[in-house]
Amino acid sequence: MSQTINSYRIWSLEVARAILESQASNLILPNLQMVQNEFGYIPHEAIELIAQVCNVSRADVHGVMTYYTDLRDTPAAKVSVKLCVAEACQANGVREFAKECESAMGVKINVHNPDAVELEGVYCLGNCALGPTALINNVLHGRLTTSKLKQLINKELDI
Amino acid sequence: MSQVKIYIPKDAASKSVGADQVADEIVRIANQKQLDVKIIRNGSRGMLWLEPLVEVETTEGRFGFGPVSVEDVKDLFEKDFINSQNHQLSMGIVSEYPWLKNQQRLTFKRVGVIDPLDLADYERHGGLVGLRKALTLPQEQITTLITESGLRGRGGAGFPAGIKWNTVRQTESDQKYICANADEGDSGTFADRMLMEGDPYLLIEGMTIAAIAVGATKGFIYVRSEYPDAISTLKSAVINARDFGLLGEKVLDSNFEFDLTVVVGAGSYVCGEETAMLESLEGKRGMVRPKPPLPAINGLFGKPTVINNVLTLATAPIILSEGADFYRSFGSGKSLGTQVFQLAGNVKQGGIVELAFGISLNDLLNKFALGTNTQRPIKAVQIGGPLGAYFPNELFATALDYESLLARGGMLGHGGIVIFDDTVDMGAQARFAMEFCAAESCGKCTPCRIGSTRGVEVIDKILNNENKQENLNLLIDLCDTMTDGSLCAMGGLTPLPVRSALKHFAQDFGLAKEVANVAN
Repeated sequence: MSQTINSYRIWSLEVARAILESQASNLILPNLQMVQNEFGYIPHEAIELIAQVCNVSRADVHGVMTYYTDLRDTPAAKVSVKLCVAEACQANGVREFAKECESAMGVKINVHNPDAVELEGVYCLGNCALGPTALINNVLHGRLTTSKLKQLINKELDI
Repeated sequence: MSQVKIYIPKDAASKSVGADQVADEIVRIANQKQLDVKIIRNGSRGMLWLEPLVEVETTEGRFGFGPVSVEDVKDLFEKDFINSQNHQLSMGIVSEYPWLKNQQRLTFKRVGVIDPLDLADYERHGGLVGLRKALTLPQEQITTLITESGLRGRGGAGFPAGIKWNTVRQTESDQKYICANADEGDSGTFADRMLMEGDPYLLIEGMTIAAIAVGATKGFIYVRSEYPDAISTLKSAVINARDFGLLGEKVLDSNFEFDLTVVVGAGSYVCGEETAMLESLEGKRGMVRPKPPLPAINGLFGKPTVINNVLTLATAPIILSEGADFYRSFGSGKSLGTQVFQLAGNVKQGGIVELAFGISLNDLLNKFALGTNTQRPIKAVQIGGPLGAYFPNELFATALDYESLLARGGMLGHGGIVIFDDTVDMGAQARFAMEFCAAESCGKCTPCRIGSTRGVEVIDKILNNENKQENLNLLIDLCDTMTDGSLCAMGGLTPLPVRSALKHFAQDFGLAKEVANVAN
């Protein structure tokens, strides 16, 4: 199942409150994850809400949010490409491949790009004998080439 | 004609190279030809160069074809692959295939064989025998069995599992927990993932045995978010296990209660460290805790907690069903049982190789990996993930067990073997080790938090020929400080790949071998 920007709800404090209250967890991380899964990101307003739900300070919530690389305070990109850049993929030439991807896609790695395609370097997707490998909108792809990657991205963009 | 069973893996790796599309195409053409086929989405056999691997069940066994692309499917039907092996992708009976047959699969024996979410299939292949045995034994006898089997933690630390379980058993508490560490972050490792996707009930059975042994009623599987397929398989497996009565108030109609929850991580390597994982399970930043207190005494929410890697827990059932002597008959010395090696990186035949401890790296490379994808010679092998040492050709005779690797400045870790060909620049690899540590450090210990960034800078200076000797001394001093001054393996072991690269590949730093050796 693809998680494109279209599958996320538009941010609403009331909807968020209802979701968090129905799940009834007083732990910070699961609440942050619930907000992100629903809305694609964690807006500033959600920090205050989660602080209330968990009965902690906003600083505590902010601290947890900024610790985990998955959690983001900006809306999700239409197409998210998480390219593995760890050792096993380095052995399969991902350093060069990442540069090729940047120029083929016209984006910079690890630079936020909400309107279109976002390329992120991640450490290991557990597909270490079939690299280069990437999660494209949360679906794993192996034995990647730049042309295959472009094709997959275009499919997500409905081009 | 009777119904034909066709197996096509649902494993993430297999799907990443088109298994879903192959399955769809097989169904489409079979329907067109009005053939009665049943598609079973199994786990992967772990022969990743053959994925997607399609298997046809016959009275003689399961015949395999791989790697199958969507374009190959039409040709397979034209050559009548259901009744004939006369096709260039045919590999004969899969279980007889030498690469698989020459392994000693204990923990992985069902992965790729069964339908992962079919509990009846799990039982037909020996599932739940270990748990049923455990239900008849006094708790102490279970922990003793695990201790006697020699089973050590498969996550990397290698701590004897039975001793950990026994500590939790002996600690009085109103609540105890079992946590499966499925935060498999090491590059070059994927065994936990393949086991969770290919045989999830084995992990559930292992956790339930641990729960019975120590008196825990709640469990958590902490899975990294990078594994979406494993997460959904586990969640379905937990629901099925509850319906079946494997989990719940009365485990298999006994008086034991156990239930578990799948918890998803949020992208943090250090959360694979057990105390950071506990913090994360409590919803906090994944900061490492000092030890003592040991998690076995004061763990999750302050309660006694068994934390074991997926493979450790998934090995408990076979120890219960076959006995401690059976398990310890594999391996030798203090490395008993089998190790699930994962061949990764630039490898011709990558995948899962489960063998008794003690096989030499050479044998693993020559008999299983069969060289590199690029057809170039192997220059270095990193064993045990990003915190493991790089080994040169001269060390390939090393036996793969805990002690032999330690004696040569390496470590087994979670069993990942990443192969690099002769184009690798070991200076860049050493730099990356520090870079990775800087990116993933939880920040608790200064040598790890700041030392890693300084490490990147110092390595850059050495590679740029700036005051080489001075900076080399500084790097060695920094490595010593990180090793001695960090609470966990993140800062403590990052120097391992750096030092090994310096020691064995001095030329890549523009150093004479003697200079780099003195520095070690």
